[in-house]
Amino acid sequence: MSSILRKLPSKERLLQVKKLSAEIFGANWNPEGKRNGSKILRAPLKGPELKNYYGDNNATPTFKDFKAWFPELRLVDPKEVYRLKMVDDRKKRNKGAPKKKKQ
Amino acid sequence: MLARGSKSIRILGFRWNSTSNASAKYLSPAELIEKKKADALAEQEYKQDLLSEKFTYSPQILSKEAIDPVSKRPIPLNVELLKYKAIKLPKTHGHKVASITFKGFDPKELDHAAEFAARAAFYLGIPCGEPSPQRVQEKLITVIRSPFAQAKSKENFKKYTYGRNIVAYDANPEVVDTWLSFINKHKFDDIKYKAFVYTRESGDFVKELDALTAGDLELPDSYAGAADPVSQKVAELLKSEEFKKFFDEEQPEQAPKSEKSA
Amino acid sequence: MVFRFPVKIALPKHAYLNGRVIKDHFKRTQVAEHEVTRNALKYIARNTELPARARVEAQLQLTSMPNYTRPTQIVDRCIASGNARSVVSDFKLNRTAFRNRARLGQIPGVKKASW
Repeated sequence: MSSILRKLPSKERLLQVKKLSAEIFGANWNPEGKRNGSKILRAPLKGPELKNYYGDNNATPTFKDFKAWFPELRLVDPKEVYRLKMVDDRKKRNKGAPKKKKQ
Repeated sequence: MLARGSKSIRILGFRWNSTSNASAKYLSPAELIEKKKADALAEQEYKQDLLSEKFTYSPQILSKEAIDPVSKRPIPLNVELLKYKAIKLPKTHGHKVASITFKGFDPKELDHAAEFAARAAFYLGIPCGEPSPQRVQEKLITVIRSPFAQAKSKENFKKYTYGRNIVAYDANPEVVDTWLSFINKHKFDDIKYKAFVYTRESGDFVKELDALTAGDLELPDSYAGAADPVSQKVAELLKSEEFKKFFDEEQPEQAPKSEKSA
Repeated sequence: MVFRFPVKIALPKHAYLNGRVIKDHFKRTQVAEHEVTRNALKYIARNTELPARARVEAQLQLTSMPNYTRPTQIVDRCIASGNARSVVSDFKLNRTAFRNRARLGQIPGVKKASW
């Protein structure tokens, strides 16, 4: 008949329920909100994601790998040829890389 | 053994941990050829194994008159069913057991993938919901056209991400596993799959799991990371010489304080 | 040849390389390596329930860790040009590199918008 409670359970009782719930579900229990650094433990580690930002080296082979696999084809990388040409041109203009300082 | 507040296990639902080996190296041509030969051999063996069993080709057919011009045989029922949507089996109990979310940029491909999963579920006897479309996610990227200055002329680009969701009910865990493995074997390249598997455990789940792992039981990969590396490192640091002395100092300090208060 | 950083690491193969990209990549690898230690020390420093001296010691150790272990020093760079300005993090591209590739249709799912 009286499906609605005449009086809510006491605050202590409600706190006990919440504490038990935290115990069952393995949650942190900190009713007074003390600064115990648990948020640092809770946070997921983001190291692996940061580390792989510039891509996974093992994902795909590069031109160098193809050169090693098929030496008989005598493959020539046009990008590398261009790069070397530019380096050579700069050297001719006396704009090449400076000499390494000896200590 | 389980760390308190660990998110690797959640009651009434846990996610398969995608512990994919990111550093698996690409194969050289010789290795690739060998692998393909081995795969072809394995498939041939498997097919021969299947054919060694005596069976008569007698599929269910819709009508004897409907003859396929190429194979010169009546069209089987399962081929005929491809013209229609996947049949939805009636739920026995209505307990949600698994759900798959498909995400991609091409709605036609998505429909294809979702319908494939739904048909596979029908043949495995899993009551499934219809592939429901998810809200389209729109991403607007506005970019200055010129490489230098000229911020008054920009260009807009958009990325639309479409989605489909299938919910499976009332199947045994092994059947669900088979279903998911089958979908994974024949997955589409341009679609992202996310599968959730739901189980129901008792209120003493944590205690039961601890009791299981008390012996020499290796937990499967999905429970990896349950022992928090940071907490372990904290324990290690606090036991080290540099930090230990602070805990020993505390006790003589506290004694005079309590005397003062008394 | 002496490696330019204290710890030897493999250089990325599938991104545009320049001195700054290499430096950023080195920092990323070191942050990942020392993340657990840093988090542990930070936890000790922030936990008010531990003795004050322990917290101070942890904070001192944290500040004495090298700069290349600090996650705040990491910057997202463009993988096509090495630029650190106007990088759209979803695509890891600078705005000009993004525009060039998007117009060529080389970015999956991205189209010219008009509405």
